[in-house]
Amino acid sequence: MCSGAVDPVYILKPLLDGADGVLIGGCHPGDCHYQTGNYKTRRRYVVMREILKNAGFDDKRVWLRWISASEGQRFAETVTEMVAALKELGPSPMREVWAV
Amino acid sequence: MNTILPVENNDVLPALRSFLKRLMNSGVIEVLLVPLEHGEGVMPALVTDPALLDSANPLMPLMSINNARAVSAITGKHTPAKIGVVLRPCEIRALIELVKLQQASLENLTIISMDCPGTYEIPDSMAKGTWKQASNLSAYLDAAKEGKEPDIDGLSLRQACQMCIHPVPENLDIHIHLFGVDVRRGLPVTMKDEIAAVLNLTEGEAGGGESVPFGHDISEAVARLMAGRQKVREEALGHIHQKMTSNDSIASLFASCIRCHNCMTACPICYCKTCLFKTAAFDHEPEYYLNAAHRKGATRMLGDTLLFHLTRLNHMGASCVSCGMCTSACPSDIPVGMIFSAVGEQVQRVFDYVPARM
Repeated sequence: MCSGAVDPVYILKPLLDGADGVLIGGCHPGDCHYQTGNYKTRRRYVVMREILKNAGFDDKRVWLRWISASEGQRFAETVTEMVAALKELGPSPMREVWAV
Repeated sequence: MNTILPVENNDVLPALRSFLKRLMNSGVIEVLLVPLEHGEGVMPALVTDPALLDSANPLMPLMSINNARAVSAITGKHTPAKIGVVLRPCEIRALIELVKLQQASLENLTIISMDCPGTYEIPDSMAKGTWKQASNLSAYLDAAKEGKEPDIDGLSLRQACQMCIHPVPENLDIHIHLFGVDVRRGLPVTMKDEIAAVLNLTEGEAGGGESVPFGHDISEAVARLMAGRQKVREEALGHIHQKMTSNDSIASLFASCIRCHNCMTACPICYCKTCLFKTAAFDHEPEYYLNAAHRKGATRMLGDTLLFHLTRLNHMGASCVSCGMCTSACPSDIPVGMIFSAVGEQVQRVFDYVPARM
């Protein structure tokens, strides 16, 4: 699916359910088949980080990285890097919060 | 062009109604969206018969819906007639946002607005029959003249109006002044020259009545009102931010939410024809709830409440014009509008975005 079609609800749902992090992968800027999909993603991502701060989330738990569908190697490296970063952050406090 | 409409017997409403009729009879507009008196209150209506404008009452400080949504319904890709719309400043602001989102059009539209001292919760004034008494409207206009908060029948303005920093309308064609002027002696109106030409109105015309000054008194009254409102807004939003940064975060603010979606229905900016939250996407199988409860030890029923509000914040927080219709629509008295204003402001700052700026 185009990163421009990633509605914030897809990020928020796992975070509220207790996921430790969410990675959004998008095609590189200037390389969008639909011209502007990834620019929309980038804008939404900035909005979301602001809002997440108010919801008591560490905005370091949501990553946006430019990885296109053909960049398997880069995808694997990014996931490894993210897992290490999330381990350092520890489990999401939302794992314990049921009243959401 | 500035002009003064004559007011007879200190009664503003007939002067206003005859002006609206004149707009229609002269062909400036063919139809008019305006609140008509109905029962003890007003109801927004699209009027084609000028005779019905005898019950038009845009001065009654009640607001059942944000009429930007009504304008969205009657404009769009093609606006079928010369439409006039009487809107409050927050309704114009929401309309501008809807235009940017391609949900409404300004084409063929004549926007008429008044200075807005604020509106009241409808059930509060209905219970007291406040607006059946002409003296209350009189007191309301007096407060506008002084730039003071109206003190009427022990009622409080809607929460959003108490902290509104945009009481003077912008981006409009015809501006009817209430702040800083004694409207019983004449109703000052600022309008586009081309409209004045069609209406045969000339600069400063008083129609035999006493002239009312433009300028100094107006800006003084507006400044007085704004200073108070700014302070209330800062305090209210500061309070919300404080609650959001405390341990239990934004979730605690929505603890009493019954997920009725009224805030979404009342929001003029929320425009999606099919909302995800009105579909079956969140009607889960029983196992889903049990699994969720097992995962955290308990799960909120019916759940997905904070998800709903956070998603809406993401969708329209940047466009929020602080009209507060969501707060008025909330049966659980959650200050939804304040939360959206507080978070919205934060998001808007990141992009240096000012909602309703053309």
